[in-house]
Amino acid sequence: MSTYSPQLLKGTFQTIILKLLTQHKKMYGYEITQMVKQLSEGSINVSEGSLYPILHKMEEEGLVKTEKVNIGNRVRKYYAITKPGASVCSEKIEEFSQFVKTMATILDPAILSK
Amino acid sequence: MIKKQQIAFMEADLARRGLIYTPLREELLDHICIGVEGRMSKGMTFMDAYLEALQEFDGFAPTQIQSETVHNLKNITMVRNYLLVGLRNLFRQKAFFIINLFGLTLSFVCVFLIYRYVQYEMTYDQHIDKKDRIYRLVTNREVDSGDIRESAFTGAPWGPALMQDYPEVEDIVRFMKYRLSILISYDEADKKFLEDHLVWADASVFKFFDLQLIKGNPQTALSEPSSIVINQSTAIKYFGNTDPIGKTLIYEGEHNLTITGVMADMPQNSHFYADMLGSFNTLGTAFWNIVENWTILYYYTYLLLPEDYNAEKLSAKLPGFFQKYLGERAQLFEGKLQPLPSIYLTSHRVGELKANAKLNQLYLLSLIALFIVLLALANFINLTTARAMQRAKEVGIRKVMGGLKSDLFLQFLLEALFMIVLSALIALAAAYLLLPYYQVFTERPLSFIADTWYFEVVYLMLFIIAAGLASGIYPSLVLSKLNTTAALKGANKSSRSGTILREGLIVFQFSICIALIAATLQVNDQLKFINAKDLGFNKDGVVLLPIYSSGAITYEKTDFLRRQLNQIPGVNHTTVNSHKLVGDQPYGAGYIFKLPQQPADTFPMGRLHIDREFVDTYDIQLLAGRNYDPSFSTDTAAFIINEEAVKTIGLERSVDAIGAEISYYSQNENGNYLRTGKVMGVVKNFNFKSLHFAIEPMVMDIQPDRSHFVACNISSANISQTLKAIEENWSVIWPEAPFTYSFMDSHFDELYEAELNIARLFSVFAGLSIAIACLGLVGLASYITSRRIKEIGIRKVLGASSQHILGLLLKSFVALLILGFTIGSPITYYLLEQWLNDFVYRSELGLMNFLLAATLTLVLTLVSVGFITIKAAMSNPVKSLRFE
Repeated sequence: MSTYSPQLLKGTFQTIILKLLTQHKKMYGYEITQMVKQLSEGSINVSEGSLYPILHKMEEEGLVKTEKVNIGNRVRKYYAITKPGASVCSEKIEEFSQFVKTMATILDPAILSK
Repeated sequence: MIKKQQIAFMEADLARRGLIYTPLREELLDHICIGVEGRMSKGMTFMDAYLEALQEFDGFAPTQIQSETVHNLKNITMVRNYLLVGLRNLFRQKAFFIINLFGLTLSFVCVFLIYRYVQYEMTYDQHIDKKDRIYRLVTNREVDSGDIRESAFTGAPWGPALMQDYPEVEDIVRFMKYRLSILISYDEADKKFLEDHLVWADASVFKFFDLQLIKGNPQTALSEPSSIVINQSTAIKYFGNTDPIGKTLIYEGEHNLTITGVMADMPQNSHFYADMLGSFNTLGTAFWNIVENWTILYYYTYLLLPEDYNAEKLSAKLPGFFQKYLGERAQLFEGKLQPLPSIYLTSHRVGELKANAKLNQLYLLSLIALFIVLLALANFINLTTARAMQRAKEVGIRKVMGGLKSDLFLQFLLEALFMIVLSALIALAAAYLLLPYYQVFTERPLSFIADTWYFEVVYLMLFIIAAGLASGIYPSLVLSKLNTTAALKGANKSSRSGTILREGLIVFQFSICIALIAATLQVNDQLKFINAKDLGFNKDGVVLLPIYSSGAITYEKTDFLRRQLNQIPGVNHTTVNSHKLVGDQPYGAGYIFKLPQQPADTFPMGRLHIDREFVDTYDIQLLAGRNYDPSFSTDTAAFIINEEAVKTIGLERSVDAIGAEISYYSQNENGNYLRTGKVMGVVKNFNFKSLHFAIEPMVMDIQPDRSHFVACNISSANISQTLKAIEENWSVIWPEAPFTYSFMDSHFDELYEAELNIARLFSVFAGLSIAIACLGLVGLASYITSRRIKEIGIRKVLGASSQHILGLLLKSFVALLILGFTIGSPITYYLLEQWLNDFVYRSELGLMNFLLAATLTLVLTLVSVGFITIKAAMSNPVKSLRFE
């Protein structure tokens, strides 16, 4: 399957990252990109350029918290979800499924026609 | 596994590529490392793996990730980060950090301590409620032809007459304090002490000076003759825990004084001090029958004037007042009114009740405080600006990323403020720990927290903000205005104006350094001069013993005393005199001199009563004639005069004065009588008062009845044994007075208390500011040298010797030093000239001290700058040029 266009994905990254964090205790940046790739079977690519600005923004807003761990000679920054983060996550998911339904209603004939 | 050095390399490389937002850089580093590790495990070399990982890394535009990240964030997060970066910057450059912190802290400690001292000096008499309405009347009296004697004294009848004649004088209070210690005894407990702080005062004293009465009625306590109010310490000294009210103290073994009140101990910050207050009207009733005399000036008069009354108006009436009561003698007297709060700081008349402060010297001390702060701030500005150039890249990148100029400015300003606040906090803690020592040092009960602390907190805030702005604005402006492209290129050149400012600050530091060293040298010169000045007599090894007798002191009595004391091993000579030779106020008299073939003439001169061992005890040089000789009975009527007296009567050679006839009116229990005798000897001038005053003409004769002090010249060996022997025999030697002694030198030091105190402070703080200035030089030298390290390398490669390079580096500093010397010296010269003018006998203000100061500054510069420069000059050029 080929990758989706960035314009289509743009609004979904935050939801994806939050969802992943609810399922895992803590994750670091590289791990998140790999996990998304794996789950989407390569069709969704969260680039570093999109990932890190979102992570930092969410950290500032208190949706995620961070922890620095020394691994060998360098520092690794882990992200974990917070309570407000979890509730934002379920709101986002709810919003997105509404969105899919709405889209389906609008686009259904077209899809059926395919 | 990636090695530590490789991590460091990658981090530096990422920073070089413009990734300066550290939280992000760390994270991306980890991200890339994972990619690198994967590649290396497949057998790639580190470098290849790294470059490939970078390529793959989102087409690699780290700065774009960075700007997106940063744009997403709110200001507060960014500011927090700026501060963090700033702090890291501060700590990373340890040498700069420590020099800045140490210099600032040291200067703040100095300022705090000086501020406390000056502030305390300003509080004298400020606690007195009616201080703005109280004036002290003092007198300028024409004594000699033309000479004006400025004294703090007035005549005793003046005050009551003023109050009677002028309705604006609402009330008056008079003081009298005898120049000698006074023997007070309490017979019931058989206690006797010599008291130094008994002041006779009118009953209104409590109304004037807010003295707090613990027992007794302030309205009436001192209204009856022979009443006395004592302070708590004195009460405990004489009476322990029993109530002193109504008890009787005996004044000089003769007069009973009834205790009518107990007052709280007076605070130190008043221009007078009293342990005991006797009622003024005791004088003249029990003893001291000269109190009615209009022209004996020995009393202090304070006037209470109406609120908002212009004292000038009363001053203008004083000539008329003198005219009314003194007739034709009125023109000899001039009255002056001193506002009470001004007395301690500005009045330096004959007969002051305390060693008053000199306002000039307080200003000088404040000036030093200012200098110290300016020095430290100049260091700070210089070092920060210098160091900041190394951060040019950070600034450039931040600008490319769209960092606002104001953001940058704010960051650098906050960094400066942080340094100042940190220094101020450490300084406060240090000052707190130092304060107990400082109190001893200054002999002032200074407190860490003042009563008005809330003002001071505001001052402190303002000070911190002012200092932060003063030192932060310039470096911040320079940094934030830095041209973006130039900064990115790593242009490390400072602008022309920056160089001028930096060099200007160094010149300023050199000026202050030279000024302070020169001033310290000069102050110490003057103190040494005072100590070494030939006073005309020997004060070393002279012990003073105050004596006192209720009956008449006869020749036989003093003879006995001298014999007894001279018997004690270690006592060389003993003399019995009316005065002690330092800091005492000589009597005065009008002496009628009759020289052969000349009409008699009268001269007012100082008057001293001595005995035959006076000259030997004090090692005073006899210039003509001879000393008293016990084998000639007529000698007891003869006079000895000093050189100044010879000059005053118009003779050139001392020998010519021998045989001149002198007569003057003296007083004994039968009243005035004319005493006549011949000049038998002339002695070299000896300095009676402090060197602030000129030597007076002096006439000496023998009057045992006026004996107040015994002076013993004792051998320097076994002083304590000699003193012990005197004490053990004292009950035989002089049973009437308790045994107390003091050394002549200690009285000598008292004369210069104000100078010594300030000189000590001056030396310490001047030394500290010099240290601060040197610190700054070291820091700057290391900066300049590091900037020129490549230049040095190239010069060396091209064949320059280490000496040549050292000379080159030092030359710029020496040029600045010379400029500093040229600016600093004249100003200092002028200020020192002012200070020295306070002394009649003063050391020379020579160029020597200035040259010495400049040399010393040069040496300090060479040492501090030289050390760093030598290191640079000696270094291997390969090291510095390798990375080009």
